[in-house]
Amino acid sequence: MAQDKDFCGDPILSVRNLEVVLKTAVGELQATRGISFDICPGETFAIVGESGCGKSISSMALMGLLPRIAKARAEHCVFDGHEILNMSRRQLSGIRGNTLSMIFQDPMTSLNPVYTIGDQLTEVFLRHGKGNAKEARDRAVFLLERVGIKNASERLNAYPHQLSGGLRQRVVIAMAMMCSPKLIIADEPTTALDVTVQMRTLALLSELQKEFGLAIILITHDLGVVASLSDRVAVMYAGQIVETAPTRQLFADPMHPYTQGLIQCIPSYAPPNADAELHTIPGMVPALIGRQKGCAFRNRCALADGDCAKGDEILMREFGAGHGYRCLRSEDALCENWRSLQGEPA
Amino acid sequence: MWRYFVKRLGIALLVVVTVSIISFGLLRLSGDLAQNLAGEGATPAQVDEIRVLYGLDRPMLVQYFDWAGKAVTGDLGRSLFTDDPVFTLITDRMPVTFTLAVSSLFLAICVALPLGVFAAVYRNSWIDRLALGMAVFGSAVPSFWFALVMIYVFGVQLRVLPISGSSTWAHFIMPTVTLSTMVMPQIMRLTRGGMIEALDADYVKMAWAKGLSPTVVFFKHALRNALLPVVALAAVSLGFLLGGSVIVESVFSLNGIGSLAYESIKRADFPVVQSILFVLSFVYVVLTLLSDLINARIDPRIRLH
Amino acid sequence: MSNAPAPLDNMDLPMPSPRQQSWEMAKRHAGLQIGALIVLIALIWAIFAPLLAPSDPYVQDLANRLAPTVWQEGGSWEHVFGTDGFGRDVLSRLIWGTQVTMVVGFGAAVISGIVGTTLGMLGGYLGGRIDALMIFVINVKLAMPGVLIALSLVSIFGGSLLSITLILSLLFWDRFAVVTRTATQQVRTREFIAAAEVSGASRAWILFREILPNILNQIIVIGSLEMGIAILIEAALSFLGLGIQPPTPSWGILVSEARDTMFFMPHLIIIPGLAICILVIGINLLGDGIRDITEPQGRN
Repeated sequence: MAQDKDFCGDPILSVRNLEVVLKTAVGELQATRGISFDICPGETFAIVGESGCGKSISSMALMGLLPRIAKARAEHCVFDGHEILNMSRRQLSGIRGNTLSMIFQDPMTSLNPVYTIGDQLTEVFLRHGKGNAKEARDRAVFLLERVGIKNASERLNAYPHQLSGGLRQRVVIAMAMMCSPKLIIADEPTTALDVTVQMRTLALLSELQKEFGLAIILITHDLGVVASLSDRVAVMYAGQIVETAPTRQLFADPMHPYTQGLIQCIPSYAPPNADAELHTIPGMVPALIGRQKGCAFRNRCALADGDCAKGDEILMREFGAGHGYRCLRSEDALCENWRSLQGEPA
Repeated sequence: MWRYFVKRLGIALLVVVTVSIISFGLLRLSGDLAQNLAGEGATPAQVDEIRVLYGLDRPMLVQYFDWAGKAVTGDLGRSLFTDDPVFTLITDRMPVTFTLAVSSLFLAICVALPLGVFAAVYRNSWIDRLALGMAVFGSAVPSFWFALVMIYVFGVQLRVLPISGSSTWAHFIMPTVTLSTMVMPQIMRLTRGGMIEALDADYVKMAWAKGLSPTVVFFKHALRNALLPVVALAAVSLGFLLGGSVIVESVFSLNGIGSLAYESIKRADFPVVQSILFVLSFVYVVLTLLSDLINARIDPRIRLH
Repeated sequence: MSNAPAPLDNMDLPMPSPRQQSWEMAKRHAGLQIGALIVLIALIWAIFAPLLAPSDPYVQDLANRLAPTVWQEGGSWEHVFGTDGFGRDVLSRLIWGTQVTMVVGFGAAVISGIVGTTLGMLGGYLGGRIDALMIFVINVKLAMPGVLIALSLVSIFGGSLLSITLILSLLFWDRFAVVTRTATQQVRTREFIAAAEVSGASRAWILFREILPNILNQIIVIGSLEMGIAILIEAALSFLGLGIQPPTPSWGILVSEARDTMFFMPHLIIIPGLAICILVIGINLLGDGIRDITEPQGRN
């Protein structure tokens, strides 16, 4: 498989065959099926997909924050030299917020309304024994200034409701940086923000990453965000990675019909002759109750035929370095499809 | 924040005035008070005499302002039955009811708060089921019956507790337990609900993601948010207990406000009844204001409004 | 999808209809079944009391006072729960007492539900001054000591079934109002209300055909809660002698009458008290159960 290749020799996070199963009233639901990827130090790896494709639940599994009805298992799931899935709660909490931190989707709700910004920032620093209260305060002021908040030392005494959404997300980002993490998982970090604020926040993340040499897992449904920020992309569909490639490569030669559809859906990527009509992928993400057979995308795919329903799962095929996809169609047929999608008016 | 409180205070005053009008008017619904006071066999002349004596011949509005004007200065009139000043009647009886209500609330909180927290943290565990079972039973058991059963078990069979009166602290045990069952289930449910909501909130996920210890996550991040509605409920409950102790006081022969109200209602002693209704409403309004102040201490969103 | 059940929203598998789902859940919901059974029995007792009661609940038999229950020494099947201090059959009085309990409880819940829901929906839908007035009225209501007001009113208007039902209705409308007000505020922002408004539907139509069905669920839960409380307060008032008047068999009166003999005949107190307790638990279980099966997301 393509992603088995070592990109950097020594990945900061290596995930093999991660499966998350939810026990629901209607039966066992396979939220993810055999997810594998490696993250190199300092790179941004984007996971893209529609809501319900399993991208957030995989990140929750990595953080050990799964709801009780969910169970995660994997061949291995190694972060910074430690196997994290079987870790005790105590060991895990030593890593969380320390070397591995997370940015949540909604800055309006991810800060505790009854404590000051300063309290919430310094708390994580003190928890992981990075220094005394004074050092924690200095670190907080330094990071708040770094993420572009003016009057940082005064802002420490502010409560979350006194800040705008964009500022709060900056606080959340600063909070994730408090202990100089090696990897940040950012779950839809800009979805809840205004469009104008989104771009600035993304730019900030990217600056911070270069400056501090962080690795970022960026979880998003927005390929536009992916294009502007990430080094490599995994496209998820129905609990599976259906295509993975370096970002530039993915946009240039998308192989999987789903990826092709997704890219086609970005307004700025649609060809100029598309009459300003937005492209959409027909149908919905299928339910994942019970064991799945064949390709999960077949019901929405223009290229599907009878073979797509057969077999346990579609295996990953390689198309160039670090580029893999799960589809039975020939390379030629897929490239042809992409060309026709681009050329033909929508 | 001060604007907020001035507004709250204004509304509270308006509520107090409205309540005083209602409790004043309520007892004049009962027909001709002068006739009631004079008794069955009184002649019309005697009834008229009484009407003038008690000022009942004046227009209703004049009577109200007369009463309200004096009430502001602490003069609540005199009992029609014993001729004692109502103010002293109430202040004499208040300590028993107040002790009872406060200790019941204290007991209820001491049991319900930890139970609610643990039920939420260990959802669907045995402790959650126990809490839920207690809440279901507590909100379904008639308090007068629960009191009688306790009297039978602890007072008669085991002979460990006194069954009536208020001379020692031991006399307050059973009344306190009985009364606390009236508010315990609500407090428990609200604590549990608030905790569950807080534990599902993003800021608690965030707290976990920061690697904080369970103790810090539960007690620092979740509980303080969960407590906000509980504070308001506790204040309301205290008001409710002060007015609802009538049943318990009756069963355990305690001479509190409740039994005073009960006796006065039975003998149509309207100055006493309307004053008790008014005083209890007043206390309730003060308590809710107090709970607002406490909540403002806990919640910066109110304080820095 | 930060919380787990989210993927379920996206299912396009053939799912059972909501009605079928509710039925499936009802079949597995023990609380609902127990609650329904208890309420059903109480209803049957109330409606068929003349047929079910073994003897006349009013006939005194002074020669046969304080007869023991069937499981006690000297008891007989003639008086399963024995007789009271006037020689009346306790089981018969218990069965007849269900009538008072159910009428007062159900009547108070329905009337206060209608009053409170109307006020709450009007406040929540119209907003502005009407809403502010509504909040003020609720505040005034909350500030009054309910039980004492009820006692005073009963002493003024007498302890008939009708007056007690009406007086208790007066006590409970506030919770309906608070809940329906909030629920209405939430529902009115949804698209289908805007659609109805745009299409020129009248306010009454919107309130009763569009909003009411959407908040009915919550009204039922409050209703079951208030019915239980109404039953408890009726029993308490009757126990204090300011409710239903003897010799009418109310469960509260049964307890009150047995007080004199409670030290040597505790079962006379325990039986009616347990009856109240079980019925109220049943009603609450039924209400919670109905909420659970009609609104699966609301469970926790």
